[in-house]
Amino acid sequence: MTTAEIRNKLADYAAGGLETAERAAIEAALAHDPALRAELQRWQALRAAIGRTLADGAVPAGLADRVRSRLRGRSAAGSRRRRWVVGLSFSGMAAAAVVTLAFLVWPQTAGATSVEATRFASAFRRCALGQCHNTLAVKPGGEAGSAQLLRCASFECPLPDLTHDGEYVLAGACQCPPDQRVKVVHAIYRSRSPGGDVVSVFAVDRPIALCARGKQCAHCPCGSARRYREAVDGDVTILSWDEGGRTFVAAARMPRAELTHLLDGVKLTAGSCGGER
Amino acid sequence: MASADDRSNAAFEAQALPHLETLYRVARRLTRSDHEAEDLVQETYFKALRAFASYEARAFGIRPWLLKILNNTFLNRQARERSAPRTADQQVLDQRPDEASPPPELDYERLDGEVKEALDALSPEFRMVLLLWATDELSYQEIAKILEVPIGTVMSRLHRARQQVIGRLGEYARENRIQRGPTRR
Ligand SMILES: [Zn+2]
Repeated sequence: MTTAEIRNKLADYAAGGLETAERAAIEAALAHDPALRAELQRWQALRAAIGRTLADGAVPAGLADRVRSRLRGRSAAGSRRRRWVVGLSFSGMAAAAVVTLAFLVWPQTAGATSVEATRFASAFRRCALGQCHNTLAVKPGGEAGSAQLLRCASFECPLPDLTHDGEYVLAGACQCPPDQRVKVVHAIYRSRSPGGDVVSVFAVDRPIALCARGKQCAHCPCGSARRYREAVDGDVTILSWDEGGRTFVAAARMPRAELTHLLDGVKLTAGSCGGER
Repeated sequence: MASADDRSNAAFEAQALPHLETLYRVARRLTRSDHEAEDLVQETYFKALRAFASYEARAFGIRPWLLKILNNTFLNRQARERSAPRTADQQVLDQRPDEASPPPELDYERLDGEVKEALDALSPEFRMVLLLWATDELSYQEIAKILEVPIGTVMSRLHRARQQVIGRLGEYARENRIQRGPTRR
């Protein structure tokens, strides 16, 4: 090997790569070339430093379980689905305000900000399936269909009432933004049935355009009164619609037909500030 | 009775999940965010499971294969978010490094925080090559397969990435008078 070749392979050598013959050739050159040794040390020091940044911080608790359950959810999805349709026939809508939010900040100027659907899927996985945030301090109500947010959100917004028929409970809410340009209230609903299907609804602080891979999402041909836009990200279905001057985005690990069926029966509740602190 | 699907799922989990920590740690530095890292890892495993049948036919370790899916998933997301093709100019990216004078001597152990920042400031392609290189037991050849580039490109990216990191650290060290040697106890 020429010196240039050896220099090119020093980083590989430092990382323990290379065949025995090549390693021997490099070691022979190192033995009588102090500049090469210094160069090797620089690579080793850099590699060790990057290794330390990689090792820095703990792996989140329960990560393996979450990955496993998502992997298994994929194969179990078929058997889970039927249960969904049962118990979701919303007849007479309860008009009770379920989730109440107050405003500290008005929504910024409305504009058709375009947000990737995958961002909502990410926030859903992270906050609803992953860390189960409840930073807005949801307090479950005594009877089915009542719950309160004890902390005020940064803007006033109504949320769909998924809880009134008793199948779902509001399990948590947070304001983690799927995209830095918008604010959201992210409500997390969990099924009472064993296995606990999870549905998220994001109330966005403004009208947005839901897009996938840079293109506007298509309307869902599902014949609903609400004109849903739809996207799919892995096993997550994302549906968005505009109502009351803002956009709502729902995410769940279920087929589109079931999510639209669920959302179709749901009304928005009026909002005001939750008082208790 | 366990179906064929269940068995293949179990085989996948047994082989792939032991690499979860490595994937997560690379993803965290690559995305610079704990949340996005978890999401990226989830998606990587999800995609890998779907592609597992095609993996079995290959002679390519599962860890490099998972890292390859992770890298591609990350780059696709980036491209999607920018709603535009990748901006990294491949030619600039893959130029041969200048054979400049030797870089300044740096005391890395006192610069860990800055190494992290310098990594974060790199373009994803450079960041990834350094992260892979610093991950145990990945040779140039495996890195080349993961990134789907020739070995020569791995070498040149590595050299250029190092140049950028050292450039940044050197600046920092000069500003803060951190040198190697006698100043250290
Ligand atoms: Zn959250």
